[in-house]
Amino acid sequence: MDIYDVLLRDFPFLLKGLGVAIVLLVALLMIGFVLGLGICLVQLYGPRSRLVQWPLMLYERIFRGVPIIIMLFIFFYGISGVWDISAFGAAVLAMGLRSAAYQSQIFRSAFQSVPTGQMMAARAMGMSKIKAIRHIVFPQAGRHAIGPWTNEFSSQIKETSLAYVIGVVELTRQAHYIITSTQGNVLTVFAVVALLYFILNRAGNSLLYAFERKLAVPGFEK
Amino acid sequence: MADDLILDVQDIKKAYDGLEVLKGIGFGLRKGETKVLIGPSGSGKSTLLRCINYLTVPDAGRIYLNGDEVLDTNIDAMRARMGFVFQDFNLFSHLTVLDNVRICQVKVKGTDKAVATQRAHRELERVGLSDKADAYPAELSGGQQQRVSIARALAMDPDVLLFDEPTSALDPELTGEVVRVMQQLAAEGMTMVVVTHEMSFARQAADEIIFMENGHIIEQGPPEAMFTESTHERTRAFLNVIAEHG
Amino acid sequence: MNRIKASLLPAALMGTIAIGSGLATTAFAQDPYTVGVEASFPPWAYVEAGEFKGIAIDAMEAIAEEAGIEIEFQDMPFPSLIPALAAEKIDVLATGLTVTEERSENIDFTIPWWETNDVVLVPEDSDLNVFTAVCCGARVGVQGGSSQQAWMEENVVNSGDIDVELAKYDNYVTAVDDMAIGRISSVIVDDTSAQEYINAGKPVKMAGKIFIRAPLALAVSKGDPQEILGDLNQGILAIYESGEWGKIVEKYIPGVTVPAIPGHMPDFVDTYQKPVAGLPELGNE
Repeated sequence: MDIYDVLLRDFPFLLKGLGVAIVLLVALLMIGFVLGLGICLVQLYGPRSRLVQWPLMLYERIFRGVPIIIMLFIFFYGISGVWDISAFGAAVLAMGLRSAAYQSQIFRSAFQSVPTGQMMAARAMGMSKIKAIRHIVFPQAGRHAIGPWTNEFSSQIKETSLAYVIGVVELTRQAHYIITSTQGNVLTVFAVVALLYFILNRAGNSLLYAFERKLAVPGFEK
Repeated sequence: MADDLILDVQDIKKAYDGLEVLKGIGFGLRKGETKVLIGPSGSGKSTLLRCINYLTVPDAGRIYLNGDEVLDTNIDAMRARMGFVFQDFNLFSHLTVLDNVRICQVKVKGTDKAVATQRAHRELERVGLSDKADAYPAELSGGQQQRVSIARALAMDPDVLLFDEPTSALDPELTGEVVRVMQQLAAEGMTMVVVTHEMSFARQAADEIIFMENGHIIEQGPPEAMFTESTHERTRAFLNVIAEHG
Repeated sequence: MNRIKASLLPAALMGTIAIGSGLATTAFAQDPYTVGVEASFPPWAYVEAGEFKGIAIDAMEAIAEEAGIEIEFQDMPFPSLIPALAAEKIDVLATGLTVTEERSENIDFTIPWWETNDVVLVPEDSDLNVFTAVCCGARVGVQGGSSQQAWMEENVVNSGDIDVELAKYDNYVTAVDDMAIGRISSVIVDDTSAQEYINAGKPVKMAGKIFIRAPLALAVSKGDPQEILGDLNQGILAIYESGEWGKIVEKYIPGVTVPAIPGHMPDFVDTYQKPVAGLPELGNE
């Protein structure tokens, strides 16, 4: 059986691996989005007390500063003492929490790029701080954030391939299976895998850009 | 506090880093009155105006709106009753003109959306911008943006309108359209406090002019008296400078 | 894993919650043992067309049947397997795992079921011999965390006077491919795998053998918390004696001489002290 027959035969497994990567990606981005937005809001609008701000800063520094592979090991082996977490769960958590640290930065600079006059005008019209953030500042910051967020999306796709180190059988691991069971063909197999990652990346980016265009408002250039 | 005052500002003090910007200022405003605050840069006019709706929180003093004291605790409700027009417009840049005029009616006052839309169209017509309802702020000239921001304030049906140098950010050829709208509002009986360097507006529309310098009110009175027979050296000097440059 | 907590829980709650202990006991009975494998390590364990295959896989299934236990396989990269076993994320480690002193401090080994020697692989057209291939400026490929890496570091790299650089790979296939394009000069790998690469037509040849007589074995978490070491030992011996083991090995490495079980049991492994779990007549005195 030559490598192309094997690839054809095992393509469903590559797709299955791609599916695992996508579920992991979506889950980690969602955790990162919710938590990252929360962190950003507390950092910008929350109490200025050190008791609140320092832990957030520490969290952000740690998760941005420690290699993901180490975080994966810590979450998989470290947490298992307390709670029997699956490899997939550990990967979602480690990568989601890290993405939150990065996304909080994306959101923070997006919120900071909204002129202060917008908040001031909203407050002057009688909006509470929360209403002003929700109806005035967030819609503008959100538009600013889509571009950098697209980068985060792309880099996280690539990071999902690291989850195999704790036993998540995603696309890259499926590729390893083909490579080792056929004793080689590294280039051919990884070319196919690279193509799959590329397609996923392009599809995601196209969606995000379409979303950006849909929300486009004169005066909001990329 | 006089009962017939819409706005009663009493003994406002404000200091920044020990530098006193407002040294105890008070004035009152009856329904339908227009008062114009003038004075050299740094005299504290804009700070005073911002203190009235707590955009700048005063260190001391009291403010009453229609008999209700303005406090930290009721500030959102009080602000909803005081329209504020900014020097640099501050229109919500992600919203259309119509939504700019509509959103606070719906989100702050809880007005029904259809009612708010009607009101928004009426206020846009009032400032002469009915045809721009679907435009975005970035597509408008400065003068048009400022008129939208006036419509936005009017749509909240405020007890008083506060103008913070509404024409200062505009090219000279665009100030006219904004000034005309303000004159029309004054003539219709809107209660307004205006910080401005537009002496033509002050002269024609003001019921009273307040001249401020160094955190004090130096002089106040009807425009004719101020412009022609001011007894104060400082006032005369200021008006001369304005006349030369304006 | 679950089982430990499940069995500790009723003890801790001791009769306070009857239902709770009932559920826990049910979980105990149904929960299969997790067998960790490195599924990119033929002929021991690999995945073909979505299914686990290899000597370790087939043998483990035969042993499970023998011992009447349920198992499920969990794939992990080799460097993760021992930490996973130490952290009890897996219950059994079944791959071509060499018995070493260092490992035996962190995990418990079953009786050896295989013996390997290492081989120095060089490109087909190379004129390096077994000595020149691992000295004199050579870049030598090994799998990260493998016994070959440990052996090279202990005996060659750390000796100080041999100029050699180790290149560590995720798996041996990549190492062999890297050698084919000239990135490294040689690869040190066990003889079983080496034969596989040559059989598969890779442009490599054996420059020579390093006789280390390394035993391979299964492993469980240190202290055998699941108490399955005895079952595994008995199972290994049983499938060897029934001839099933020979058939499995023959299927994956045709023509190979199957080492006798039990093979050489190094003194440094504490689970090889007499009595060996499940096989009390065996063991070092």
